[in-house]
Amino acid sequence: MAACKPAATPTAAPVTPAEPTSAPAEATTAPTKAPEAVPTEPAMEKTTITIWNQWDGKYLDAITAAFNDYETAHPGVVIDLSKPEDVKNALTVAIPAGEGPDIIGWANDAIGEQALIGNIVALSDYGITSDFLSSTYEPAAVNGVTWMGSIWGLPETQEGIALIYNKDLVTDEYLVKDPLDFDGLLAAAIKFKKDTGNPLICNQGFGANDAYHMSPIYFGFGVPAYVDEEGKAYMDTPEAIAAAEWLKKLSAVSFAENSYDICNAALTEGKVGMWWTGPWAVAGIEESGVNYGILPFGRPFVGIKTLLLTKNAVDRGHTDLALDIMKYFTSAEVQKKLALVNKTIPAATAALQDPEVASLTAVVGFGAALNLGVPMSPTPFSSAQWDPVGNASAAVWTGAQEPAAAMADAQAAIEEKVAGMK
Amino acid sequence: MSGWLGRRKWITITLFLLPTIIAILVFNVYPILLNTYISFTNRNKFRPNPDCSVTMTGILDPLCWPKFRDNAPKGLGSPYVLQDPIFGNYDTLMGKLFKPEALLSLLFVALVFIPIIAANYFSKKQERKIDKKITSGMVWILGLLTAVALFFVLNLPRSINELMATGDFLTVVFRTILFVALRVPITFGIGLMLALILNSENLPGRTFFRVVLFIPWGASSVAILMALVWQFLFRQQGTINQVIAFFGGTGPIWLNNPVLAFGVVVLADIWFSYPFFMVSILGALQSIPKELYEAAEVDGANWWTRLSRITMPLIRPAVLPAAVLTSITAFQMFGTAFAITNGGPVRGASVPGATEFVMVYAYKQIFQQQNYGTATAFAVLIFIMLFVATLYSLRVTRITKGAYD
Amino acid sequence: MKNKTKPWVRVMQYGILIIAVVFAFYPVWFAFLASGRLGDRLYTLNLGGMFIPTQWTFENYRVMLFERPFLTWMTNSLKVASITTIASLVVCTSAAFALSRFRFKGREFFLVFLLAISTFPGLLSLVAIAQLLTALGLYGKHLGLILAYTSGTLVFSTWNLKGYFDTIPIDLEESAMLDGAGPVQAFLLIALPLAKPALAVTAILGFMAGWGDFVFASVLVPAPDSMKFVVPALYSLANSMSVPWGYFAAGAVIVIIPTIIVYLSMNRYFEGGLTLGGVKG
Repeated sequence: MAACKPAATPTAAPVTPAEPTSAPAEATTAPTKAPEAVPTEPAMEKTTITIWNQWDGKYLDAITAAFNDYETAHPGVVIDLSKPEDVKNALTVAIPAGEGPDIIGWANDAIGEQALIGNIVALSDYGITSDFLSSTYEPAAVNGVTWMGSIWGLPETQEGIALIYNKDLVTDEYLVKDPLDFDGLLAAAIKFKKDTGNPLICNQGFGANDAYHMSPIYFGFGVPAYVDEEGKAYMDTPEAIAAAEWLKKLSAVSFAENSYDICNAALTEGKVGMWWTGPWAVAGIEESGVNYGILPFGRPFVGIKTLLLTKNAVDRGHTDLALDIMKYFTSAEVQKKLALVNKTIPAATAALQDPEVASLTAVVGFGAALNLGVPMSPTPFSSAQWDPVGNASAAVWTGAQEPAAAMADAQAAIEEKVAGMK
Repeated sequence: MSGWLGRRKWITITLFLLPTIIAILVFNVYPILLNTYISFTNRNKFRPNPDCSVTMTGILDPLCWPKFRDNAPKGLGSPYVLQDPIFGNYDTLMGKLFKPEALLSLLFVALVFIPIIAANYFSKKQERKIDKKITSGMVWILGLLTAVALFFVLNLPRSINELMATGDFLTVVFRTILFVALRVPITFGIGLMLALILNSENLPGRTFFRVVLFIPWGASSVAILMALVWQFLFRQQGTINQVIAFFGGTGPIWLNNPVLAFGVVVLADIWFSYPFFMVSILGALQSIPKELYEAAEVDGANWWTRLSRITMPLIRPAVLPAAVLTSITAFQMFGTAFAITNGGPVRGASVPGATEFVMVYAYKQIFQQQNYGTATAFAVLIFIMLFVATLYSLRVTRITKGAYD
Repeated sequence: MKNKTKPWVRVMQYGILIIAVVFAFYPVWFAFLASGRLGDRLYTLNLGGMFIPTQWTFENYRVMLFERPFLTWMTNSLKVASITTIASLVVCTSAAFALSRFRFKGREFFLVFLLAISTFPGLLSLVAIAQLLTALGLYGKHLGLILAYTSGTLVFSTWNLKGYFDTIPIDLEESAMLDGAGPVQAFLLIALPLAKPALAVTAILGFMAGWGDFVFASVLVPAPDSMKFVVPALYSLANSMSVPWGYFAAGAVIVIIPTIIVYLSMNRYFEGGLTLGGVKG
């Protein structure tokens, strides 16, 4: 409530930071193989399948086109893509009421939480087998949708962050070839700052609470995961401390404040050399005309965008149709089309290996990053990692805490949260 | 109407009040009951769903109501139950407060306030005496001096640190109180100043100024965007620093410095809220008869005297309730702080950030970790605090009187 | 008797006013500049671009107004906000009248209760209230939102109106009652017309409660697009990394305009309306 309006509902609730703990990137569509099954409902009635998703403006056009194709091929089916802003809360209200979506498009880290509540159902109960998965999708994607022995969703795209650099500013001398050569990157950053007066790298996680964007650094130094499936945290390892020290050194030659918008403006206006971000930013960069290249670095989190099936779809009897749509959307054909337009990285193997897709700059660059990456885990314990790691990294960046102390604090905080969950 | 008696009166009264009563029961009382109940359970991410066989849960939790019962999701999580030590969540939040050192610190803090309250009491007594041996001003000064002396003698800063170390609750509450203590008086001051100016006679362009100065309140519908604009203004690369650089200096990194970031949040919130005071004071000013001022001028009163002896007392009944309500709302402020600093700047992984106010803290507990048990306990504690503060302030301002009192 | 204000006082007054205007208007101006910027950047790191439009395009406005169902959203919001205003007026005035005029046991208690109950942090009640409304069958319908917004305006508007009624001398109504009018008639024919300024305040608050809310609307009426409201829908443009700030800022600028219009139209009543028991000449 900014002004003195004593309404019962707060007016200022943040949307953009509403899901800061889950993978922040919006869904990109992943190609899947062509579906075989024909929907079994009567062709006379119109059945509406609602999909609540996180596909935003620019991607949405291509995705809507793909769904329109499905509708043309299957008269009697209407696919509704309108969505709420705050999907998680809206789900909690909608599902018990029997309302709400049939399919949810979300990052895979939501799987654990939603499964615990019971909003989504296991696909393995409805005819999706792990053989189907492993023959259609990349192994990392398959792992990302499996939890507690069941399959929860179909993966559409994968994403991870890499360094998008301005070819005009960042000449070869600053490009580090080995993706795990952190010392080399630091040296390049120092040199770049000295030569041009501008920082080399902008990353919205620097100085901010964003463990997702810090992941290539920590995992690149050798930390296996922030928190694993049993709830054990790895922040007090020597590797984590080494990563934090590296951060501190880098902060001396970079912007003190970074954010998505700052990095975007800086890269476009030539005030920074590289932007550590994901495929979602590519469209904007192309529009602004920067001559860009992609350099994979470190071991980023690999987020898997998935389609999940809700309990309501089962109750309404839409299961077969919904599954069919899910398979259609994640199939290689569709994902290939989407990849060519949206520059996203499909999770379906056939699409990924398709020559046209494989030759896209974005796919080459980000795909290489993904190969090095660490998959995001669907376990609910992983929600304990975001705040502590993010806060600790920010404290190291701004100098509020020394690396060792910050890491120790992060470890303690994660353990406390995990204990609270058990 | 005071001549009315009996049933007819009660029927009419009920008629007038019924919609309000229903609305309050549904929209205010019920959530309080539900949240209080949940604060005694161990509901969290792993135990998200209610166990409808427990009577209280069955009544309160919406998922147990007949309409939802069949559709309610049953996931892999287990149902939540009452906490084992029933005050478990409260203990987590405030438990360390009940240790001897912490209680002692609390006592010291209370001791510092006693001289001030005593001064208040005694000065009122003095004012009623006919012969004032000691003026009320003297009593106040005496009280304040004693308070300051106690502050240092009892080493209050150490006590405060001690209290903050007991857990997040007190830290967050102190910080929010500080925020309110800064924001409300400054907003009042700005509103008063602008209202006084806009109320003067023959001010060309008065309507223009009134409209433009109202805009921040109007912009609160898109508060997020405005808050982000404010955030940008104070970024390292933002407008303010660029202007400073233009004149040759180097601006600080506002949002990384706890004190400066706090100031930025206060400033942004003042921007959103001063129009309210401005408009309400303007209204109150307009009801003061001009003759009073003219009489005072004839008597030779200067500007300050007129302000403090005529204006302030006369607008007091109008503006004080608004101030009370604003303070309550300011205490629960969430959007501005969250959008600008996200509760930062960060001081470490396990402590709340420098601008993490009550509602920011609560929001993070709930929406980022689904820690319902702790978060609702926190909300209940805040509610009790504010409830008591409201009652006290109502007593002080005596604004509940009716038309015939 | 008119006093001529000294010139230096005038200068000071205008000085303060101008500083205040810059303070008040610049952030909105900044957003306005962003709405005309190409691409999706909210910020610009060029100093000039922060003050004057170095680039300008109407593209963002065009897209927002014509390619998105923006006008539908606006209509929905206007409808809900207006009904909230009317409902708020009805409920709050009747309650305030009763609290001001009638002497009954529990009156003071009720007033205090009304105020104290609103101190509970509303953020947490969100989902619970939404579920409650759903149980009543109001899911996805505007009516549920109207009820929620109206109850949100209750506390302040009732207090404010009560205070205003307090300043209206009770003699008028008592003489009317002696002539045989009932309390309802006294309320409608005497008290209400005299309380126009306070009514205007209540109207504005009601409108803004219905216009600006976002969280609750997004939870209770999430879809379809044709039912959505303008503020949540604006935020839905911004729910991922590549926020289209251009559109968002353009939409925001358009959203602010109705509130200014409502304020302007109520302006002449506004001044007197927030007097909670001031002295009347």
